[in-house]
Amino acid sequence: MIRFTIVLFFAFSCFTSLLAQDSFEKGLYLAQAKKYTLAIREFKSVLETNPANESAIYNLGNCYLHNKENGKAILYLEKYLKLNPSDEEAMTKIDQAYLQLGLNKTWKSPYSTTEILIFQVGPNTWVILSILLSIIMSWLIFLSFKEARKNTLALILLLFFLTISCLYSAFAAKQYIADERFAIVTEKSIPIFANDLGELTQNTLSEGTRVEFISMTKTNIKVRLEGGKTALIKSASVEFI
Amino acid sequence: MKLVALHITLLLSALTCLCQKPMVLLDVSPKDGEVGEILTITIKSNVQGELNVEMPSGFVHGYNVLNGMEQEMDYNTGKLVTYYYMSQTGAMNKEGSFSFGPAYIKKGNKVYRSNKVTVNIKKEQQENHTGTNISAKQLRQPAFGVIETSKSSIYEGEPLIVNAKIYSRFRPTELENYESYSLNGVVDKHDIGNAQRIFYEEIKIKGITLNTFTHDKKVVFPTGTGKTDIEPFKLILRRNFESIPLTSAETTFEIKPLPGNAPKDFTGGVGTYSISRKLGQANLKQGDVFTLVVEVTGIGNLHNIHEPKLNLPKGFILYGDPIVKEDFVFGARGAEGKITYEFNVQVTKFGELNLTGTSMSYFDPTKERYVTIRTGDDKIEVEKNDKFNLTVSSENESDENQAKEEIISLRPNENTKTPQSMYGTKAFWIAFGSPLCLAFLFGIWFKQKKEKQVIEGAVKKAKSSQKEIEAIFDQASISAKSGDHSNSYRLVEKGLQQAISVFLQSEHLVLTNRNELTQQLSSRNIASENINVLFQLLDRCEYVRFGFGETADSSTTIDQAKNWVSQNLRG
Repeated sequence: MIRFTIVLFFAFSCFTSLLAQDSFEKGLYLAQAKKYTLAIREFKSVLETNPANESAIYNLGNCYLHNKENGKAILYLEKYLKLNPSDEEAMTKIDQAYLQLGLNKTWKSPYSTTEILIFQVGPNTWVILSILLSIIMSWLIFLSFKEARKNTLALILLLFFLTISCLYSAFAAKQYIADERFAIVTEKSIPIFANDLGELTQNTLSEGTRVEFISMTKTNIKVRLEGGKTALIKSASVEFI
Repeated sequence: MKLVALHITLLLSALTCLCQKPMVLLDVSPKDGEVGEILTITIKSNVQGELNVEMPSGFVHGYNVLNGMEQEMDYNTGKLVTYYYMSQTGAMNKEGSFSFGPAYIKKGNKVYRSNKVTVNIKKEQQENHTGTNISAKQLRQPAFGVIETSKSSIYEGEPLIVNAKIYSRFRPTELENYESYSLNGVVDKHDIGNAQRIFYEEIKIKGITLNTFTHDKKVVFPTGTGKTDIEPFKLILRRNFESIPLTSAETTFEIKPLPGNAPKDFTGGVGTYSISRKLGQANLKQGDVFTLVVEVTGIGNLHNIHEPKLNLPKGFILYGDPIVKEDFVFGARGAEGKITYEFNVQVTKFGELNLTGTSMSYFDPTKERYVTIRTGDDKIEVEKNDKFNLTVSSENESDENQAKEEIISLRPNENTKTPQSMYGTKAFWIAFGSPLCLAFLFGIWFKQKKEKQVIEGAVKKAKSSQKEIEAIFDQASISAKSGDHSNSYRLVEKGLQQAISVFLQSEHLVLTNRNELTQQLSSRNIASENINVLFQLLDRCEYVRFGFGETADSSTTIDQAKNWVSQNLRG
């Protein structure tokens, strides 16, 4: 029964990956034929089966850009840049989207250099480093039982702090991927609320604006804008990166 | 003689009776078939009456029911016998062995019964073919359809000709309720060469003459890669008042991906193409805008190609999008004709300028490779125009050209998956924690082992020391027996010193320092009277060493020393 289940699971995985590959090729073909709406549909179906397909995310952003849906283009290109923080071509594409929206600005990463560096090293690299340090530390602990020396103990202490740092970095890198702190306004314009009772302010947020999630209120979400100001908006009005 | 005549009469009467016996004969054809295959049930009888046939469950009655009669001469009686026929078609909807009949004919009060026929029905065999293979099952049917494709395997973008082909044993008078075949996900399809009239062709397959005609011919341009199914077509053929529904078999074809090393100027064309270029104006001045007409002629997916890149050198600026004129038709080879692109180009430099040729690449499916074609270069003489104000710097020209010619830059499917972080998983904590745990466990074990070794060493050392001391006292006894009491007392003193040294774990013990010795022995819980006994023994040994009491018997002293050691210094 178990074998049957394994075979069925394997067959299903192969089938879905083949379907995803087929949709990807269709998307490429349609995009090259400038049929962006159809191409967007194909790339979206690829992401349904493999949400972390970076090429599909990039191509989707690119298609939205050429289709003049700048908010969504910025969203997907930001998602792509989150996974590839140093891709200059994607940064240029976002700048193009800003230009199309009439915004005179260039793209800046919402994440700190430390966060990006920790992620770029790779979550599993930190994990492997932690395990290696743990093995070295274990060896030194064992040696210290054999013969207690000041040097050995000092080295153990140093390795202990290094191991803790690697563990924290591994945790931070994992959190970076799952992080949904930032969101993009994908609609032309969304209202800003004065309070949870539905009263509106005169201000709105335009397409392409990036906001940082602070907290949830009863009916809305509180976000921080790029200038540092806070605003109350509907969570359905934005899409998280 | 009378007897002979009587026998002949009786024989003839018997024969007559036999020949005129009511007969009901049931036949089913074929006796071995497949699920869904048409079966013909025929009942032949010389009796006319109410007919009832027992059919097995799972039998689906067909449309055709034929009744008829014919007369035959019975040569035995010389009479004409009338036979009545009833024929019905149908099919079984499940596999197995089924019994047809018996058929009953009721005439008046009498019921006449036929034989039974057993038919074996097998599971329907899946037939997937490109339209060229016709199965035995299909040949047994009065009419069948296949979907024909020009190729079983094409390249991405290559045209495919698809048509319905119908084979029948008769010439249908009409075609009704036609439902076309469908290709999953294919939207780019064009009807070609469909005539309003049906043109038959007579062919022979395995000795069977069939009338065949094609219908619903299309040229399609499938997208994507891999195997694609073509769903069957359905129709009803009419032969006078008879209707024969048929559903074709489905078919598949494969779409192969284009090779990955496409040249940069690949326009998406699959087929055969040629390119030519013409300049609109001959005499140009600096700043003039002239038309550059590029004509792409070809057969294949002409309607889907992109405009070729001009790759204008410095000194030429492209203005706007080109005017595109399409002149092609869809035929049996795909889209055939030409597309003309009229570009507007401004010349910003003067002098003898070389306009490099326009190139494009296409994929030739017969050669199975990319082919690059190119127009020739054009030499243009441009007069200097002092009034022309070059507003765009030469460094920006190529950027503008780049921007205007920009096509969407896509990434290929590397299918990268962001690796799942191992942090927090059970495997991670086991890999991280187990070396530390093992280090502590082994360390503690190692330390305990070391301590044990030290203790064992000490015990061993004590035992060997004890043996040494006993050996010394034994030597003293031997000396005493041999009369060498001086040596005997010396050995006693030596034995006592060694015993106390071992007890106190002091290698450099000095017996003369009595105060210190008393302190040390007292600290090890040796009673003061026992210490005094020791000193007395030591004094006795001293007297002999200094020459006093040389002849004193040492045996008693030896025993006393031994006893003192065993009582006070054990443990």
